[in-house]
Amino acid sequence: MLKKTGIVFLALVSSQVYASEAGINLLVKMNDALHRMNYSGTLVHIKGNDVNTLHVTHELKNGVATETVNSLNGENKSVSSQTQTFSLAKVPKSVESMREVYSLDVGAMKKVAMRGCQVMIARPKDKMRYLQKYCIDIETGLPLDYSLIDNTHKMVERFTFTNVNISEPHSEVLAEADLASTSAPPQTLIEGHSHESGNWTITELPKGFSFGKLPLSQASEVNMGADTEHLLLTDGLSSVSIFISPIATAQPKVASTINSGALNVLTSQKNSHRITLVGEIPRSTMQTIFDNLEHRGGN
Amino acid sequence: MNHITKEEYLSAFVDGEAGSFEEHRICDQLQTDDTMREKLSSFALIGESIRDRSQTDAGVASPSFLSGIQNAIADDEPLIEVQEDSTLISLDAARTKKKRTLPKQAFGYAVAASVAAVAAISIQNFSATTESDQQIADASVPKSAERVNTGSVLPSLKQPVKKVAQNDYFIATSYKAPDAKTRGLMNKYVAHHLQYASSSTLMPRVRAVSYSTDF
Repeated sequence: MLKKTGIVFLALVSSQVYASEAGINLLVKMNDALHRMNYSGTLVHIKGNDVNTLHVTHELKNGVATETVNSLNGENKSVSSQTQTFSLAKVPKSVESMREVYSLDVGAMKKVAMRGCQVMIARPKDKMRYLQKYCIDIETGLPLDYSLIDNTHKMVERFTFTNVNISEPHSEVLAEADLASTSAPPQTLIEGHSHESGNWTITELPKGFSFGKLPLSQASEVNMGADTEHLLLTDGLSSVSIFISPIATAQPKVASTINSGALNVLTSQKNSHRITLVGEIPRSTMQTIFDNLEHRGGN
Repeated sequence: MNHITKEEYLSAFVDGEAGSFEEHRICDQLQTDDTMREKLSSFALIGESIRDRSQTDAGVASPSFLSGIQNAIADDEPLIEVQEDSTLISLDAARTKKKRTLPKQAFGYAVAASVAAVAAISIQNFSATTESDQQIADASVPKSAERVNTGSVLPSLKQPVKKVAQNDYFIATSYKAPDAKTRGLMNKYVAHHLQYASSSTLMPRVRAVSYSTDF
């Protein structure tokens, strides 16, 4: 019995290692496709009982990716932006640490928007983050379906294409994009703040989370407020921002939260500072981070 | 009974396939035979490992894992506490119930081994979420595959009691709906986060549009 058990055990271990490697490869392919492919289509975004239909276009031109998202629900809301193209240097270095907190499983083949896709599940090993389920286009690597599920098996958010056209840009365009990416001035990306930043420290980070990189520009500082400190934590798949700004006048210590699908916002006060956390993580994890945030020098 | 026979009997015992006579005999032997006790814990652990594919490292539990089981057998209280915590059976009622059940010692070993194995496997989930508010056991969430410090098996059995107290804090944390000024500030930070601090490109933009229709 022991021999048989051992063989079964070894087989299970090896198959899981293989699945994890395949999952990582799919994630990298997906990130690459999101940045390098041209695509246009209708995307349905479901949050609880709310359904929003959007038109999404992404085009790589002159080394720059232009992305436009329009709501088709009559609200006439849209977001358009130009982003720097993908670089391998931006793939999270935390693949290993990601494996500590997620089990990456490759699932069945499905069809979404009439295209064949491979299911990939990033299953959290604790309750500090959401389960993330992707269906990744077999041909191009673009995610055609993406959902986030909480620990009570409740789907908190889902994105799914109902139709999509995907094309690979010409090799010259990709080469331009690669060139633009590698020649970008290094100061556009700064290292995330260290464990202890300014007057604030996080005594214990939630498992798997580490400080991420932040783009810094004049515009971002203006949008955020010049005296606001911005820390970024990421576990490789989810991220949470911590904004810290001084409060001039004494205010009652009231904690407020809002929620939109997987996105949670928590704001409260500590040591005459307003602390606001924004991210795609459960509120309880946010509360833990907030609790562990300490003003150096004591209260 | 040679060692091969013992293993077969133990395997049947763990699988619940041993007859009552064999169960009694195995129980008697378990009280005196260290090797048998080790094998029992190994069988229980292997069984749990197979049932939970993700527990790759759980198969290399340290020797103190066995002492955890032995302690659990020697001291009924942790087991009763588990019952008390999960089924709200009172301590006295649990003791009375235990006295009435005859093959309890046999089942005691099996339950202790299984509970200890499951507890060992689940320790990291508990430790990783001690400050989390979720109380519901999520059987589908695979446990982490790190080595387990089995010396803490018994304390972990008591941990749910402490978790309730910790979660009371979170439940007691009251949140209020933000006023207009706070909402404006939050919206600004949400926009900033979605624009600059997200790890992928497609979903943040979609979330931004969707969020703007919410608030």
